[in-house]
Amino acid sequence: MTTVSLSGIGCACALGANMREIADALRFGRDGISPVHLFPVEGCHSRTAGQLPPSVAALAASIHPPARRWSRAAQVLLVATSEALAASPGFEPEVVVIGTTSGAMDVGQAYFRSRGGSADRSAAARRVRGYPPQIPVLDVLNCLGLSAPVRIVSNACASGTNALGMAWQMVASGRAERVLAGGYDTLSELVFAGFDCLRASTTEMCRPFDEERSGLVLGEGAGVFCVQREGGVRIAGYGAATDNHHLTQPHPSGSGPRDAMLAALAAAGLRGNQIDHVNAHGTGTQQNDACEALAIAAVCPQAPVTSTKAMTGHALGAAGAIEAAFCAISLREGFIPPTLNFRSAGLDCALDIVAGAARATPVKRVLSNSFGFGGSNASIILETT
Amino acid sequence: MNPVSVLGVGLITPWGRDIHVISKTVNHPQPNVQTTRAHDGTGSLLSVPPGVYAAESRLPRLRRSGTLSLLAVAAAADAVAAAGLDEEEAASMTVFFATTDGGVRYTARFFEEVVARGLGAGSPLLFPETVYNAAASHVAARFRCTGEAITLVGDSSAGISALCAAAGAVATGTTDRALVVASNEWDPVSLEAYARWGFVDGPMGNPAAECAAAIVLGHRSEAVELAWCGEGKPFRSRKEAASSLGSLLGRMPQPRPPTVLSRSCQRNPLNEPEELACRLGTQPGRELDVRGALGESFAATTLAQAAVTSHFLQQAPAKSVGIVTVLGLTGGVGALRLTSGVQQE
Repeated sequence: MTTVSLSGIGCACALGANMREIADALRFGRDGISPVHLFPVEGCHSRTAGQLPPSVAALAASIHPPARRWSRAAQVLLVATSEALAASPGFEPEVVVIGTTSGAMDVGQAYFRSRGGSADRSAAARRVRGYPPQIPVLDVLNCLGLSAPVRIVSNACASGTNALGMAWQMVASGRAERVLAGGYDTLSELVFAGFDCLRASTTEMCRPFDEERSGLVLGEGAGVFCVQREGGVRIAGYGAATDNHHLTQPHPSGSGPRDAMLAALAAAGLRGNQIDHVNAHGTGTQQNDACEALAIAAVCPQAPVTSTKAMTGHALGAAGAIEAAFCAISLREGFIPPTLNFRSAGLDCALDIVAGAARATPVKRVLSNSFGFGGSNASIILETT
Repeated sequence: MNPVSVLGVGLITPWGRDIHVISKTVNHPQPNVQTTRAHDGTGSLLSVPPGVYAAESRLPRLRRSGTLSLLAVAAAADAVAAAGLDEEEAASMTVFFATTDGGVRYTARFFEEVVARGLGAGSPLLFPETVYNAAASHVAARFRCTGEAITLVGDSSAGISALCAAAGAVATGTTDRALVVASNEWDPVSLEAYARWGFVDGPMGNPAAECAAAIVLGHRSEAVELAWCGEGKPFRSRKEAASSLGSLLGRMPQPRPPTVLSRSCQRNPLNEPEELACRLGTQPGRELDVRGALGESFAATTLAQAAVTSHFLQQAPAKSVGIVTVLGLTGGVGALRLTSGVQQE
């Protein structure tokens, strides 16, 4: 198979508006979680999230002044895409593959709210055109002078990794030479309410793999990559698996995550003991972390494990893409970020959790996991050249 | 790359799920069989009678699912049966699901409760079914598929994108068999919104309809072959639409004129550029107006175009060629070429 590389990477999330800010935040273990200020959360159990810094909107407007009126989803996607393209001059994609769970749901919410009264129903007609998840992507491409077919992958919280995986498959097999891939998602009331009603969100802190973990914190952001044969950190392999146990709960055996990780290793021609670091899905929920720990213990028990979601929140469809960017930072700069708020492992999570501070160590291969509703499980392996 | 064949198709429509009856309907469009009206009479919907998917409604996994998932699982079941796959073969399929609006009814209900009673009032029974990939998850569970299951969201062109992704996976040996499913549902307000926009019902547009389609792809000699599948650059004007589709058709290998053409035929401003691009690029023996006969269900109807065209080629004399084209409401462009009894050219 052909070598596949990430020649340009752009990222924006609660830790910063570009890769440099984010790298510094990861190295120093900065906490990007704060009280939700985007919408009222009275009545919810959870009150915090990993929200984008204000600089993202300002940066979007500096790139393209009309973007100040865009949805937040389109703004963060513009910022991340611009950074990726700047790092890979002359890159013109043949195909664009982007993962998201809710797209421009802030526009969608305006549509759903406008359904209420007859006076607002004509507004609903205008808004139904604006909230499909491909709209922000098309707006960003048009603004940057690019034109290519767009595929939107919506596989819940695995979307970003699935999108990168699809790009890898296309370039590795020769079906495409240049693919722009990534993921984006921004906070919305509808999704916030959804995770809250499932009691999946924590009322205190996100503590991945901790024995007293009590749930996730939501986040937002975007990660975008220029995927082609040459030019940077390599995608060594990708694997995906479906767990048919339940729409929202993983099989307790961890079979879905395990199968995705094994498929990624097989695609890369690697063994589990060749992985230097696992960027875990690590949401901080009882079930996910227990199942994922079983899978990691079965596949690559020696690898130091981090969940960065304690720093950023869970950015849903963007998470896999954002965390792939984090993996690239680890590979380039030789450190493993810490898992914030971790104190001691549960009996069900006996792993080498990197906690307290970042661990300086050469990193050659990182495996990143993303698991989601619908039994979606995806793993991707990045390596240095 | 290995040739990719159509092993079986399934269709769930307001006219039932018998592919022969549906094909006859496409050839001789019938009056509406069952319609519902939106709140103020704006827009009407061709519904699939619930009895058509009664068997799927009784599956334990689907007892809380919406129409989107029920239709998808039903179409998939028929495609897999038509393909003649045993349980093990079916379980080995990679699943590709396409939708345009997703589970809009559950999403609307969930959010209406939140708007009325506050953010903390969301229903945990409704929320999981609002995610776009819920239907794909149910399809995978129905056949115990444990490999990759991918959901693609987009306008009508998403049906072609799903076929392209699946065909690529089969052609390169990533998977031996792929199940491509597309489904779409309507609710009264989305129906009204699209009608006001001018893209369904009324003087412009086809009637809105519920629909699901499924196609199993794999390797089999003497089957209809998916010879070529492509996605075009997005358009922002009618001129760009004609240019993008024309350019895409220009890339399609066409050593012989098509026996049949199925355009997306939307009876709205997109009709003219599509007709222009197709007129310049193809001279078909006949046209199949799938959308006009079965109604508008966006990505699902696009996959239905491919399924009906494939069925047509199966019945047609040897060495027949079918072309399917689509222009989507948000700028998506797609086309594919099916052949029967024709050597790969």
